Amino acid sequence: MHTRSFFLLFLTSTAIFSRPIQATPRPEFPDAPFRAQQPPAGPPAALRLPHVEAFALPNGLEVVLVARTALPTVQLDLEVPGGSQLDAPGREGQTSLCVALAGESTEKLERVAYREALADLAANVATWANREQMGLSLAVLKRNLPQALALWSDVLMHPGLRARDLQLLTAQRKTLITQQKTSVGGLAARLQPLVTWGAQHPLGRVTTVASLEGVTPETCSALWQARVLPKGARLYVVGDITRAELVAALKPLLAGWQGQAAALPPLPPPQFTPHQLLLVDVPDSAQASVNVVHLGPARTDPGYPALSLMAAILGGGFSSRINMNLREQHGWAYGARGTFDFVRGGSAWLVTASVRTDAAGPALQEIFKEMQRMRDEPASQAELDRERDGSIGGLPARWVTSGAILNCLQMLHFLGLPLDDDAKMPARWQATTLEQVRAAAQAHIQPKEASVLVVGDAAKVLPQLLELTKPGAPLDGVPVTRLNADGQPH
Amino acid sequence: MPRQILFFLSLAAFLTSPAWAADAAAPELRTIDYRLPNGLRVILHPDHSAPLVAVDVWYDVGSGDEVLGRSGFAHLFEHMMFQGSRHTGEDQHFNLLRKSGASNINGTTNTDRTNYFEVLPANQLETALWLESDRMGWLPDLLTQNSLNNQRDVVRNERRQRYDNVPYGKERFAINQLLYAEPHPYRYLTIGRHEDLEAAKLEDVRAFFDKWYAPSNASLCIAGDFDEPDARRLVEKWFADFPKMNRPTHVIVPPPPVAGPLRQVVEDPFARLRRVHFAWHSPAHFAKGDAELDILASALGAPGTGRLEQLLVHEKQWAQSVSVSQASARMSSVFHVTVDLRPEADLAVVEKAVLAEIARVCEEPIATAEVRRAIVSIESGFVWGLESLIARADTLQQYAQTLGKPDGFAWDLQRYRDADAAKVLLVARTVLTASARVEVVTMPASALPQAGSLPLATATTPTGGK
Repeated sequence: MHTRSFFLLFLTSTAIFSRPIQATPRPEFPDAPFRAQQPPAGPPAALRLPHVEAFALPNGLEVVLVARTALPTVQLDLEVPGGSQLDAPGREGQTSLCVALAGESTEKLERVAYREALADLAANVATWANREQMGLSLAVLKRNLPQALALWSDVLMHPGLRARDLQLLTAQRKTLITQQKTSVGGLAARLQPLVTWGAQHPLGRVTTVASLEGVTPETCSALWQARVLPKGARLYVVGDITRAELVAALKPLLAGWQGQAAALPPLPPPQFTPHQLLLVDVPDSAQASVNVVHLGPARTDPGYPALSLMAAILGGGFSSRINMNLREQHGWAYGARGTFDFVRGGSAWLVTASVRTDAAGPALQEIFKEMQRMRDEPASQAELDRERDGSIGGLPARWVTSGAILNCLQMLHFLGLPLDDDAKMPARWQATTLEQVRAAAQAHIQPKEASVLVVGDAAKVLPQLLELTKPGAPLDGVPVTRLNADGQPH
Repeated sequence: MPRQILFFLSLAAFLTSPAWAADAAAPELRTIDYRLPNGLRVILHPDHSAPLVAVDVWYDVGSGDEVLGRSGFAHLFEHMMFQGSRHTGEDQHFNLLRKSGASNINGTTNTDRTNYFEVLPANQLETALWLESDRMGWLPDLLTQNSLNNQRDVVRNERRQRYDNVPYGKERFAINQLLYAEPHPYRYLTIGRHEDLEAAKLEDVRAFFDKWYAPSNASLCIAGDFDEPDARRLVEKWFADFPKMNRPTHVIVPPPPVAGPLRQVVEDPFARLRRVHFAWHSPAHFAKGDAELDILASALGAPGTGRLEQLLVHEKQWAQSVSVSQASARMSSVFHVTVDLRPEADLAVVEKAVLAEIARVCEEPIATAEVRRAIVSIESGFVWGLESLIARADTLQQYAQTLGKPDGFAWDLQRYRDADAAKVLLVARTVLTASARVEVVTMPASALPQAGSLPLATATTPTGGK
């Protein structure tokens, strides 16, 4: 009955509404000569970096503070060395799980009471871990800072680490992994590090449902006690607070927090296998994720200015060659990009796009073509001008909000750069020539080395990939390796 | 600088007052609001804290203005606005802005409006005005079948990437189809149907432009580091000689009554967990009851503290996650309750528990502490929402469109502060009834019986009460 009336309504409304859009033709818009050209810009403002105060507390904790009164807010982030790289082989994901557990409650307040206490202050306290670092952050309106800081320091020094919360978190994380296995984008992101750094490398190992087994509150407690210590850690603070206010607030809260974590073993060299063709099956997906990967130089490399402009021309933004090719010329993708993903001491060149399934092979062909062309032909002066001027002009926007300032400072420290690095970049970019851009491509864009990861409907994608392995094609003679969703060959 | 401080001081004063103090100073954003003779609205918001400007143009047209058979068109049109116009050249928009040092360039479409924006160094303000005026004036000059074909492909890829190829993409369409019978324009989501996108013609693009992209139907906001006389002069230079055109009228289609509860089961090859999703029509954005439902959504579903979150995720461990929201829009809003079930949970038991909690908030007032917690969070969200220049510009535009004045900040906050548990109860009772409810259950393809003839995806059957 319902279906039927529905149908009638459909018919009626079709008759009424499916006529072409009615509009009166526009009146003439008067043209004028000044419209023919881009108007000239006024003089650019000089880049003003925020004033950074760096000092140490008596327990050795380094503090990096930017006091600003733009908004009545305070954001801070305690960062300690060591992230998922600390996971023992076979126990991938356990550091991250323990760090998440620490953020669930305190010794005094169980999960619900703790979350209600935070909510009543509109305070956001969160623990986090990435591959090489972990931390504890806080964001709150200034008026609630004292109480929020007390909760933050309670997590820091007396995390609850309750067995029940651990069991819940573990179950949730296992489910997330399962869910990730049906999303081509999620799966590509999950396996990119493995392709880049190697399946056994601390930066490349993949967390699986099985590798999350065996975590206990005791192992988490041991990790937190051993790693989250003041000497060697750094506290970033940005917001409406002075150094004196900050020190006075922290002093009573951090009394008794002492110590230094053991030095981390150095990371082994990358175990990248060049020229692989890896395929992961997600049946029935409407798109395939195509990824082209190889290693690159460190962010501290003296050739960075030319490298960054070259990468921007090739894959950086909307105007880049790869995006214009895949999206605007061919209409295969909503977007495509290629960037150097920097870690400490190195980087990965990564081109990634989600493309219509029937375009996976042709898209890869075009990506390789663009990489090769970047090496073979000089970029145009217009491309260099655009990316140089854009990079210089874009610097102030990196330092506008508290969150942006915090991220910039953390990133600069992480990559081993001085905090005023941005101030030096305009001159270095200005001095970059077309020859240097081409030399950077020849040194750091390696189509003959690159490995390919494709996630999509294998039955439809495989014949396209085989085209790429024919003589003279970009992956001439490379065998296709099928991986499962955990990155294991099968 | 002093102007910025002035604004933030009043905000700070407001925020340092107790949340419930009746005399708390209302926050004020410094804005200048005027219209050119051709009807273009201009909103200026000076802030000299950084050498940046955000230029944000809103056109009062969205997918809610689409006609049957052309779903997704407003958004497809938005893509065409980046393809070039008479004086700027084909596909040069991003090139020119990138070279200017722009840090954020985009356009977005929702049911009720389309916006185009760029954040760029303050000395490049005029370039943004050149680009925005050129596409407002002369988009059709460079329209070609080729560029339409290309952007249609791009948009269909966008739909694949965001809806067709991801878990729970299907159920978003299903919910709207249950809530909005033909010919309601909210039925197919802003992204639209593939077949409708395919059907779009070049003359549709021209007609849509002629009808909706009139200066009198647009609002230009400039926020950031500029001097007011300069900005006024530049706006005059680039926009004032545009002709006055009639302002198009919107057909406001009321939400069709739902003879509920209506239930649909959707099979999803990408989902790994069952999802149960309840939804109701609810008061429009800024209408009476809208704020109360934001508070109720927080009381039910705020991470870590919401009632359903505590019950289903923490206590019973039946759910992976819970989400509750009041999705506000111009013609009518939707109140959503979504639960992703853990593999071992019993679907019927979970549904019963959710509906029991919904019934409870329709019978007994929620606690004052719950109301207070929600308001504290909303107030805090207002402040953090002011951090970015473009977010501020969009907020001013939203207020201008809906309230008729850009600085609606104090009014907006006041509607939350005026709410209390009794008012929340009254709205809940009116909105969250069984007979107005729609339900979509997502079954992972792998969780379904392999053999058999389950009526899936197309089954729309009234079910019993709660």
